Amino acid sequence: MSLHFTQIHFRYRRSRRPIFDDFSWEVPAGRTVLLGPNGAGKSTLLALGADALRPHRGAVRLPSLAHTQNRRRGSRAAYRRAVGWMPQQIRPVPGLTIHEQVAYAGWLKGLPRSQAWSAAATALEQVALIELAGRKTATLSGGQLRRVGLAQVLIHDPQIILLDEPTAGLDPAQRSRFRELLVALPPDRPVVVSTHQVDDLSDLFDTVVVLDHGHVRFSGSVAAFMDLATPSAGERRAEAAYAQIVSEKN
Amino acid sequence: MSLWLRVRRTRICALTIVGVAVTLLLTRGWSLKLPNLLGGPMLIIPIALLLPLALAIAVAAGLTTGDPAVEAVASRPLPLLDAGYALSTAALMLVTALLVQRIVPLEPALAAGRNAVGYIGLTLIGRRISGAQTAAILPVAFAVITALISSSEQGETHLWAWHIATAYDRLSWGIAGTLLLAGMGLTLMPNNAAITDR
Amino acid sequence: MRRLTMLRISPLIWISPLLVWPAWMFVTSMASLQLDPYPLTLTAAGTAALLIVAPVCAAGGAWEGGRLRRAGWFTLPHVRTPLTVAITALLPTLLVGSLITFGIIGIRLVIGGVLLPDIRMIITTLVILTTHTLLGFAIGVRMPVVVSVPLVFLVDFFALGLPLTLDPLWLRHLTGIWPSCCLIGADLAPAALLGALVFTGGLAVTAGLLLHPHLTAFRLALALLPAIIGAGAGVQFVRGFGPDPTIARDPALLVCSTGQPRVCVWPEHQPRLEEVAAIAASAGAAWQQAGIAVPDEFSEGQPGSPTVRGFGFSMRSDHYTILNALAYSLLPPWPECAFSGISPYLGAPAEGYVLAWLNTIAGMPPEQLAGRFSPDQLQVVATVRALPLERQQAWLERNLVALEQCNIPPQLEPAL
Repeated sequence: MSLHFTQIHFRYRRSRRPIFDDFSWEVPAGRTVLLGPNGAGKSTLLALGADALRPHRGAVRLPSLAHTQNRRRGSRAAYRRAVGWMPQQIRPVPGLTIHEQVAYAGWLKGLPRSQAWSAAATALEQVALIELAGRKTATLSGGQLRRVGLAQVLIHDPQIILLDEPTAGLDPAQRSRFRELLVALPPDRPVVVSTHQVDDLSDLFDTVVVLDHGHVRFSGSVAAFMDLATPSAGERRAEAAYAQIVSEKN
Repeated sequence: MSLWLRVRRTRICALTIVGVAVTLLLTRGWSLKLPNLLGGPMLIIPIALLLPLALAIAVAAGLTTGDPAVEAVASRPLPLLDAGYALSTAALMLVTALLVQRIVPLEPALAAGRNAVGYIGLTLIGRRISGAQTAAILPVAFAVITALISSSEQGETHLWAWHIATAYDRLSWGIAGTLLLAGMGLTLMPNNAAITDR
Repeated sequence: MRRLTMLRISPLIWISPLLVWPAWMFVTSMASLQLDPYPLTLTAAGTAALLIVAPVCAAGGAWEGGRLRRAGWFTLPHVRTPLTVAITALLPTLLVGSLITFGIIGIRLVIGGVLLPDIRMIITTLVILTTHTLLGFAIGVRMPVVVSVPLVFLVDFFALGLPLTLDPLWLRHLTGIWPSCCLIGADLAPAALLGALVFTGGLAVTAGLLLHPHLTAFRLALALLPAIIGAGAGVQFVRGFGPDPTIARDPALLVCSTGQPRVCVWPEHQPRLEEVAAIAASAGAAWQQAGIAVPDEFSEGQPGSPTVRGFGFSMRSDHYTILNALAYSLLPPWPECAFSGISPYLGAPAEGYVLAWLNTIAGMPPEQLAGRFSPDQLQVVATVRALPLERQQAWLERNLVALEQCNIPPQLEPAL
């Protein structure tokens, strides 16, 4: 199963230029890292995939569902249940504990209350936050909040997972821990991780996609991506390869 | 559902309803003297007619809580729930106002209930027009500005000053109800700006 | 921050054109545009603009505070003091509020023919505007903007507007806004001014204390103390005042004529002193001929001796209004029962008749008399005027006694 973006046209209300114009893309199977400079459209693309934003033209489909992202409420609900999305900003909901906030996210995704509560516990175990379940989310550190965000995605067992800059602002130890969590995700579910930090690239991912100004500049394996770097790049192959792609088109 | 009610701070809304009712009782006869921007004599506006603005603010605040990004992709019909939340709050205030009117012969109490309906409608409309953070500014600005232009030089109350009309003015009830319905309708419409709005 | 940036991001800048007309209407509805050129009256009338400008500025302050709240201001290590940052953020708001308020005051002064405002009211206005804006900011920096902006506006609007309609009457003096102050013979009572400044100052200190980055419950309680103390002290100063926060104006300011009877007027009325003195001289001569005791002096100040009578007029008063005012000053003051209502004031009806008689003696023409007195009154006065002088004097004396006492009925129809 995969997510299909078909001839998407999208523009923010206050922006003259569209972010995406006649954009089509199919999310590859496995784990995909979505690279791109700031303002490339990565977050917008993932938000469109999650149905947080609606394209003005075109469609986003999950072929495994009969009808997707159309105007019928039931279809839309099914689509949203199938897609898990971790936005860039994880907001602590005032007054709620971690367990409650994750359960709330599960309830929002259609889980019955009791099921949401138990599923939240499972999700918190997966992200190693179960011991802090009773703590108020407003007291968490940035890294802990990110793990809450991931738990909010895992709770409803989505068919496809979209993570928007999940490691932004984390220290190396926290990023390493987050990579471990990503490794633990079900391998049969497509996962898209967006980042603008090329040093997030690792054997963890199957596909590298570079997005720039609303266009896919590169899509291929990690090895093919690294091969784009000049031999003199040495240990900074990923940076060099990235620079090669982005500067080529500018 | 209980979590959603907590996230929406329904307790604060309920407390605000009680607070407005108590203040109605304590400030019987209090009024503001406002100039008539259209000429004519000064206007005496009972503050009972403006007190329900506190409830409009509480509803606006309740609708900004939660995580907008997570709620934007909810499978549950959150816009419907939010519209229902606004409707329930308005209805509860109306019932409370009716009770106050029955217990104490307080003429503006029922008008205050009507105004709660209209102000909450304006809050929902404002939320859609200018965003969640400034949602309550519309009803407050409306209430004050139209109070200042509510009366002609001859002392006739204009149509737009429905919130100044007596509780027996049927048209004012129709306008208040229409505003609430319009606000609920706008709440149910999809909104691309919602995820960045709060 | 660049000045242009501050002006661009301040909501008050683009709201300000919409604020001018309502502010002007607040001013013109609370006091007539036709006021004497008394700086205190004109400046005070202009301060009615604060009734709408101050709440809007307070809401603007809450918006600016909300901006810093969303930026996580309190989590950042501060170099500049919170008050410095607050005042800088609020400069555009204060600028707009001041421009509108002082602009309107200026227009009132110009219309009234005065160049210099009353400096006490200017300082009070500035203090009120700054305090309300700062208080709005202090609340806005603590609460979500969705609540703080509308709530601050509403509370401020009520706080300034309600006291004007509530009892006790002295409550309104705490706001420091006196749109209908003061008659030309009155001055702003220092106690009222002090009370308003102390009250507002307490609020300002509270607002400053609320800006502490780490506001614990204890610090919050401490922060509220200045407001409470200011309110208590302010109440002590203004308690006992009626609707007007005034004292009698300094009689040393009076300007007097040299003829007889002497006429003393306030400096703002000096352009008409000669005219009033001529009216007093002419009327006085006519009253003396009729055997009426004419005082040595007619004064706009408080009469300090039995030979001085108090009167008043405005720059728009015509000849006969001034004559009527002089005649009125010859009447005895009302007794206590006329105000208390405990016992009936039987002599009250005599006032109109005696006044009409005095005006007739002084030469007021019939058309002017008809505009001021009823046909019944004029008919009786005509009857009295037809009597011999001694009987007229007896009639006058009888009715003057009735006006002075509570339980003596007047003799309106002359005894035959």
